[in-house]
Amino acid sequence: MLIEIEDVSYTYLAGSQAANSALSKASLTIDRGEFIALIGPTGSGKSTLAQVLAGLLRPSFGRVIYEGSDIWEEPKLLSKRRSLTGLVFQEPEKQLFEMTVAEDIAFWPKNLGLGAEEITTRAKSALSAVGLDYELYKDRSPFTLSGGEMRRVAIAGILVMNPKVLIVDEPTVGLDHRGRTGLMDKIQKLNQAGTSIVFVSHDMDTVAEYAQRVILINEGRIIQDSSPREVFRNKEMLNKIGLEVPVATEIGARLREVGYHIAPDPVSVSELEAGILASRGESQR
Amino acid sequence: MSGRSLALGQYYAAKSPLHALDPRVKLFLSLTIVTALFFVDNLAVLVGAAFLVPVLASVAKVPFKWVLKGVRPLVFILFFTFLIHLFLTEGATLFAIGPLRATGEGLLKGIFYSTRLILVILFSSFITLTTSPVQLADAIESILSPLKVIRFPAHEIALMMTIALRFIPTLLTEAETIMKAQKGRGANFDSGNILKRARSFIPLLIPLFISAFRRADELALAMEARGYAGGSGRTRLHSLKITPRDVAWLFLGLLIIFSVVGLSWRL
Repeated sequence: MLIEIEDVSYTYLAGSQAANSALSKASLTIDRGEFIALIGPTGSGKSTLAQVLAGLLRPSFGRVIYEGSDIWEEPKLLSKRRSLTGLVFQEPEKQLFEMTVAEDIAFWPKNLGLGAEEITTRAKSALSAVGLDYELYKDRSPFTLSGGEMRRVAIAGILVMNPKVLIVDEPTVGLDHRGRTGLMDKIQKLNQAGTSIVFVSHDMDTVAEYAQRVILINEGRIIQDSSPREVFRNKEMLNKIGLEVPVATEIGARLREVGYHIAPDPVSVSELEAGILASRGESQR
Repeated sequence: MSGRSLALGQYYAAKSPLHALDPRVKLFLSLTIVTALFFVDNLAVLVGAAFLVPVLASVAKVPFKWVLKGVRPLVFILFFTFLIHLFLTEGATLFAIGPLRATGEGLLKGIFYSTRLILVILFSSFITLTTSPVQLADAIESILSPLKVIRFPAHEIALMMTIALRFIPTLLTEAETIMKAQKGRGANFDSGNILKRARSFIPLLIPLFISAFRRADELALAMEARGYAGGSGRTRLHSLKITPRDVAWLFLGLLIIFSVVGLSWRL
């Protein structure tokens, strides 16, 4: 077990008039190689949960356990233990600050005092993991890049830590279709190489396409933690809290209503396609 | 989504005659009060004037505790003022610490000057307690507008103040996020010597400045798109008008101030 959180609650401005509970009694575990989507309506506590998982927000109650040890128990070891996870914030390109791409990616390894050679090797592999060539980009200023490139460089600045769990908050916001699939495919590759992924998303189609496990959160509580198929089966409940089901699920349901024999609950477009083809084959026979 | 609301300044929202008073009248009265306090040279009158603070608080419907909060940041200066007077005034020795002699005259003088300072703070704090920052900016624009004749940019200054106030909470939230993000990349903001610590803020300040400039650009564009073309010819939804009630309050205020000063001169 890589990460375990137990009964975690978090209250903003605890004790004041404006106290605002963002997370209550959340428990979950994350294993090696998982691909998890964290979904929920705006203000449900997704981002707070992501920051708690990344060890950047100390929960008001409850424990955060990385590989068996409580990370908040010993403050001295915190920054070292934290490197198990890497959190890519929303619009991470806003955190770039160095003169060159290479220097910006080197921020974490420099903070940890790694050697120059090690830094270069890590930076190279981090940049190639997001699909950018080190030699072409290393000396450019991050501020001359396009929006999509800036985001990739910022993500590389996290990947350079080789985190075992990569947490990404709304990674595809503001990207065009190609940028979105390109980035998600890169994240999937990382997952296939063994990194656990937790991604926060509003886009149910992306969730259906990539996630193996979906955690649904509403008003600070985890209300479901299961496979995408099971979560998207409950359309009424999702609509009630302001979420949609993926387009493929919606179309599949409508087709069944008008008499097509489509295997229940396709969640991705490829599944829907297979379902439609199978149903056509059936009717032709 | 951060869920924090930031109380800006110390404005206390309430419905009271003091809140409804024209902000220019309030500014003028509190300037007069502060000036008057420097003309009062009698400790008894000063202490008497202190009783006007809770009266004013109840008129303004602001809890007295809330008013007193305004003094807290200045406690150190008050204490320092008191000590300076206590030890550096010539007179009969009360007690001595090493070469420092505390005198009876010093004690009285110390009490007098700290009381005066506390009253200056308390009375002037009613401005910010009962006037929203935007109203205050409007008042300042209105007061400075005669200077437009000599090309003084009164409108622009007031606009800058309003915008700055509006974006303080936004900037704070943003700084918090960036700080967390850089901490996640191993940044350390709170250890090392002064030089190291100053350097550690570069990863926070550069992104903050970049986004502030970008936001300023976007805001300027958005304002122009909505027809903003500077101060000339611009009308407002809530224009400041002096009503008979404002005039009545003005004279009542001046009457009280002058009687207090007059009383202290008689004694």
